Amino acid sequence: MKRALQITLGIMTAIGGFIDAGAIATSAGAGAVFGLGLVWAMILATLEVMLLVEMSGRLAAVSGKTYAASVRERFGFKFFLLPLSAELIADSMLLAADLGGMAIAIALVGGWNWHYIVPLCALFIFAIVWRAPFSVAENGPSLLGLVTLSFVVAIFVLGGPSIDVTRTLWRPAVQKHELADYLFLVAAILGAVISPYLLFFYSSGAREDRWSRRSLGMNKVTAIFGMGFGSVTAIALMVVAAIVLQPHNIQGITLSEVGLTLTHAFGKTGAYLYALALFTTCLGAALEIVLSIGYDISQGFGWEWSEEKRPVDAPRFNLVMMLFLFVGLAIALTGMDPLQLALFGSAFTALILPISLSPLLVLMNDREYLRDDVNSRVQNLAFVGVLSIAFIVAVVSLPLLILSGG
Amino acid sequence: MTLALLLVVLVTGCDYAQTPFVRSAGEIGSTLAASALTIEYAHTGKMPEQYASASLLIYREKLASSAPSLGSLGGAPGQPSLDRLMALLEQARTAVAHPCLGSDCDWQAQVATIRQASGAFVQASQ
Repeated sequence: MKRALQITLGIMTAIGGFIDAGAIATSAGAGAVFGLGLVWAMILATLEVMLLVEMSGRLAAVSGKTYAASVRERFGFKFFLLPLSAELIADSMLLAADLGGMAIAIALVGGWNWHYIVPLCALFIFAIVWRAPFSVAENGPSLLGLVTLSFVVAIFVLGGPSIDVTRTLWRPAVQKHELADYLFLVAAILGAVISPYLLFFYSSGAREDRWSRRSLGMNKVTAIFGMGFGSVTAIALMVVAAIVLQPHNIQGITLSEVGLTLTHAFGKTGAYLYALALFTTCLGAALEIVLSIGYDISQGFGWEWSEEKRPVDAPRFNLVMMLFLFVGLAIALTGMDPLQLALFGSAFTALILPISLSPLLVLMNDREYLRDDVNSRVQNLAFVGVLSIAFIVAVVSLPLLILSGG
Repeated sequence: MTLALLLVVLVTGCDYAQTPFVRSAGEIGSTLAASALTIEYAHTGKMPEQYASASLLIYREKLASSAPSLGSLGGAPGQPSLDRLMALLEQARTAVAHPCLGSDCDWQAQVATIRQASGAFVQASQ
């Protein structure tokens, strides 16, 4: 039981970093327009993120230092500001998107206008971050997040994909004028899944949970099962979108459209399941982003930090989170479509991926940090592969965003 | 392989991308199709009324943001086709703005109106 609970860090990381408003948008959009033609991109992203998460956890467990603190220490403060600034821009958009997603989920249940609910969602995040210990922020969304398995069950209830839809798995049906859209979705999936804040959060979470060298086995299991859980959910969402939305020519361009998938499968219960799944995933992501920014800045500047400490014992850590939450709220209150914000955030994340990931490769080969647990040759080769993809995605994400009309 | 494909798309640009009109028409068609399905589900017991009502508010917003500039977008069809589309859209938008979710109105007529407009926009986007 204790071990099962320990995996919740992985599931929480996956709920927040893997399945957020951005991933819901890209997965459902991909399934609705291209059937199963982008499942390969999700599988590739999953393998990459498993690798990266395992490494950031190993770094924290063996060295006793988080990824952000190690980057600051190893590369100096000026270099540290580079990924930090990029993170602040990308994460503020993603936080606003997730606040919007939470508000839409509540609005769907009550029949209200979601714009009025956004401040309440920010207040809810504030209350958790301010008062709750890390275990509550970690376990709450993880356990509630299991509701996202409804998408998997829905596939069976709906009788699975047709032969034509299944064929798109290995032969994507992409028309010539859709090619830019298809490739943009590839970049968006990679950008939405491999979010750098996920690595910063996970390594800080490992310290919050007091992981040591003895936790390395648990780290592997957590990385594989946590990210695997996120991946299964995201792929299931693609499949149900292909089954339900595609035949109706619904592209999944709003979060309420995506909800039609579960409503189609389970009726009224499905409507409530979707609202709960949307609320939980966006709550997990918003918490993870706010905590991640608090961790990054506090660790980089050498301030006291920990969600376990009372605000009075780590005042600057808590102040940074509150200020960032306020920025996210201000963006969300402009009324911009959460999915548009999430797509911009994911595209920007894709743009900064090489800057955020490169230091990890150096750190994972530094015996001062990892001692005997440095990367093997195979792990380094795999990492170089991930970095190469990150570079390609970074170069093409903005032109594709423009070509595909955002 | 993927890199080569990406380069081809970036160099040749617009040949491999939808025109702004085609994109907007597809999105409007999609939003209208979702609106029709939502009203249908609300009346066939698949969706709670409040849920449908909140969803339709979102669809109404989406239509309001994508429809006004339609005629000025690159790749727009000639004026007669555009006028026909706009007329269909206007009827459908009225239905989405005042959806029939109770039992005292003709929801099937609303769904038919919205689906007709949706079909026209989907066709215009292909």
